[in-house]
Amino acid sequence: MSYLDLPRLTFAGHFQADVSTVNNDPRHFDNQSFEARFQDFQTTDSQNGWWNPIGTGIFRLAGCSVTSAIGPGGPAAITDPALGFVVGNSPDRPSAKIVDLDPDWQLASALFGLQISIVDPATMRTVLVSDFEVAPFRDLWFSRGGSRGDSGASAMWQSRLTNLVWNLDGVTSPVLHALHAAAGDSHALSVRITTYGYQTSVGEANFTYGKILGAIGPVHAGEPRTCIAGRRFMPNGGNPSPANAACTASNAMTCFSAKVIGQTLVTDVSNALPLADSGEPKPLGNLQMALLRREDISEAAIIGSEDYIALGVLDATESLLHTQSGLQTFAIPASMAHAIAKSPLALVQISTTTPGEAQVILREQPGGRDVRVDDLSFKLDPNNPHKVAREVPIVATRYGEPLAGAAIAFQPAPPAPDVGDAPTDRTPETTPRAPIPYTNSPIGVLSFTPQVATTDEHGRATVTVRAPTRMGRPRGYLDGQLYAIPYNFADGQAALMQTFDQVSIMVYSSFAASAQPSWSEIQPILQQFANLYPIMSKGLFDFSQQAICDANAHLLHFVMSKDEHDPDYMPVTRDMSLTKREAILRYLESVMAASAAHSPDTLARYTGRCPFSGVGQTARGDDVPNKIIFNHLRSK
Amino acid sequence: MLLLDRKLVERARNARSTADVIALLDGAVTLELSTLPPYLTGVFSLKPGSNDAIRALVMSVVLQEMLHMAIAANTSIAIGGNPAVFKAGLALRYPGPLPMSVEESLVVSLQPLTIEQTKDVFMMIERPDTTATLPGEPPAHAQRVMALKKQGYASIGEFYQAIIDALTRLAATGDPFADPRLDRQLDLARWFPAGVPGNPSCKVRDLPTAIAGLETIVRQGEGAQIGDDPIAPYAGGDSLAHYFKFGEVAFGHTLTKDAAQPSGWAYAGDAVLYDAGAVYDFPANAKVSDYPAGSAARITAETFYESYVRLLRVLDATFNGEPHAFDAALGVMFELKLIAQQVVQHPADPKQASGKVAAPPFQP
Repeated sequence: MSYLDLPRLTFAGHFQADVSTVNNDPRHFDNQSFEARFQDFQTTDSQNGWWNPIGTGIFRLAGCSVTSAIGPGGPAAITDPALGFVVGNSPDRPSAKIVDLDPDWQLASALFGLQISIVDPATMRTVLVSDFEVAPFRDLWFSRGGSRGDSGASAMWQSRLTNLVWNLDGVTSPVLHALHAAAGDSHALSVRITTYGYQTSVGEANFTYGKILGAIGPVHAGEPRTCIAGRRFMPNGGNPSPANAACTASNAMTCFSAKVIGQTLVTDVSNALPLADSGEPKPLGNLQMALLRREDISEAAIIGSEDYIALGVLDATESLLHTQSGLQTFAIPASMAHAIAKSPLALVQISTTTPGEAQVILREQPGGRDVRVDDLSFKLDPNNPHKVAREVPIVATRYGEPLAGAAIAFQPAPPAPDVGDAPTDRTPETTPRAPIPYTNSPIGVLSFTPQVATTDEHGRATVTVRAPTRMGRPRGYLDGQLYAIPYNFADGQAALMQTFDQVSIMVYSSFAASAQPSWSEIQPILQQFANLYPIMSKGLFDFSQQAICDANAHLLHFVMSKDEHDPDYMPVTRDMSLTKREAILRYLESVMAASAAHSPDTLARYTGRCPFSGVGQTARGDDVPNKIIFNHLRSK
Repeated sequence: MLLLDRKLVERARNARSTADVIALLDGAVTLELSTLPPYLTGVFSLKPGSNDAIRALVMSVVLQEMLHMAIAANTSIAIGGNPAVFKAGLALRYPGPLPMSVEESLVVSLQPLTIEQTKDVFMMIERPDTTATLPGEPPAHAQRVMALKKQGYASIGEFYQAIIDALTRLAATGDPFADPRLDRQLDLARWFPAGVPGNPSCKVRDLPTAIAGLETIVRQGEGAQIGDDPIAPYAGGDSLAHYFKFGEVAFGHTLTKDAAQPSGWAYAGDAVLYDAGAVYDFPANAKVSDYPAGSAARITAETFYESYVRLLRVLDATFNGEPHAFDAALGVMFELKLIAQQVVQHPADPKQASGKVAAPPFQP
């Protein structure tokens, strides 16, 4: 079971992702060649600090409310009182943060410290507070379209809500009570949020805001946490080779997942429908969900009525997105119950001229075989005995059923320069001077056990990825290394994979500081953060200056000692190895020991500059290449 | 100076139960809280890279107001109180008299940090309870204070002194601190190790720790011995009382001894530079609803106010059984500061791009 199952709440509204973009260019990590203008907004001629150098990293829901509430028995005749309840953030903690894995892999951003709450607006009673387990977004794509200034990017996070705190006394919503009961054993719920329509133009009122769709349902042991073990619709854009699949269908839709649940097929197109300039879905004509009678019918094929059985019209409307979070349920006739577990599903476009004729727009994976890892993106730290290895769960399915005995392998990508994140300015002389880092190098430092995993009767396997005991600094000014690791079936019949669905792993460099680190030892580390996060260094504290660092040692120690899941953890980007962090903490402790009674009056504590000089109408999101890496990777 | 309805002080003087004193202490918590929006609004109006000395002076006052709020709350908790910070905070409205104070003494508004706002509002909130003419002050001020006091109004100092007296009285006949509920009080040793002399945690265990805390509030705020002359601008150590910190802002110089002056002090030391051109001009007493729906000002203002409400909620939790919630409160405070900087980037009225910028609103 998952958010596709019942009982289910859906919600819709907006989100804010106030990402900081100085660190979008990996060359900005080089202290030696860093220039002050890398903290300015981009201009037509120069990328500078890209489109939001003053970002705080905050991720939050805004103006979200429950749009549907469906009980275990299906839609009820009487509307549920939970409709219209406010879906929001933590009632009593700092805002969550959105965090990239690494500047060389900005394609699996994770949410840290996000709480999701549900509030009855009539009574202001908080009926549920829950922790959104850290997970990266998946199925990121950049050509979804939308309104002016929107980035065109769209992605989805699937995860679990845990640490559920219910307050249902006096709440009459049957669906909330049903969810409470469903969470009983697992103490968790399944959640999926989809984000799109994101505004990157600083001149627009809704700068850094976008649209969000959410769905909350039950969790069942044995189901993956961050993906659906089900039916995967995977367009190839006319190129069936897995190495070159475009992941975009002829009607501009992208991949999506579905699952057979009882006598129904539940599909999730929240992230898959292309948008018109209005920001609402493009009309897609008469698209039918259909069962293909033969496996060898490929994408774009013209087929006759004998080749498919229609299940119903795909609802590709704004209404489906808004009120059902993009989830649609198709009834499976009893006569098809057997066939659906052995035959591919497809979306077919019904001909308006030839009765019965249809064209396959996108279909399920070849042979119905799909494989997903359930831990897509993470860091390994050779300095931390608890974080040198990670077990990556894998789930394989065939027509939605567990696929046993499948061989699966990880195939690290070859070394390559990260040119996508390191663009050349229109005025080439303003291009950052630091060398462009090479990722995936040196090769062979990660170990995978087993090298080829075989799925069990539940379609499950696990691969343990281990970091080396010592890791150098292959990227020079950038800590550690980024490894992107495609994975697939190892039997020569590869599944089509979403472009960025690769295991991405950041491995920290080995780091050892002296027992009593001096200021000169830790200053370069703090300098790098001050360079990259002007909202902190200019808006609050410039910790790269010893006087300010020392005057605020208690505060810095406090936030750097927090758990990284705490929304207030520093560094916000969560990209510091254990031994580096401990070195800074030791330095701060020595300062604190020397001056326990810190004065509230020192200038160094309060003279933070505001970072907003230069913000204005100088740069519009559509003047400049938006996230050039995305275009680059898409063109691969 | 803030003047209170004398009935409040009479109530304190006549207090015969802990419930009476709890009500007064909870009023004190709200009063200390109510000073934060005017002071923070002033800080938020200072533009980047300017007015650093002034920002430092005002922020040090803000920090001490938070300390005072926590001391009052700990004292209330120690005798059985549960300060309703959330409810009290949401009820604050500007412009208006501060809680418990009377309109005749001072109407407090939320405005950019100007010399006028510093003199007319900040210094008046913190003015010591003295009929002496203070440095730089026209004699009319002291005369007005005298006149108002004759009409029966009382000072904040007298109010706190009355609480101290009431607690002393209660302690003489019983033990109001029999169950000080130390695990519900906020331990401030980490943030204010010298906040209350001799009591780093600022927790209230008994009458002496209660008195030490309440006297700290009066000393750091007004700096003067109640009703006594000559004035004593130093709040202990080398830190000025709030009134005189604001005086340095208003008069542009640090406070120095000057035997030629009636008060013995003058703002005649080093320059404290105020750059009027580096202060955002934003509307006074802003409310979220002032800004047009859908505008950038409205969107960021809503975010700011939401964070402020969250801060009140987490402070409420801090003083109502979850003192560790203060860790989260600190994070929300810094978040508030960051979002304030985003609010002032936008015109208050999108139709007048070169007009006033939006102010971070402490009111819906």
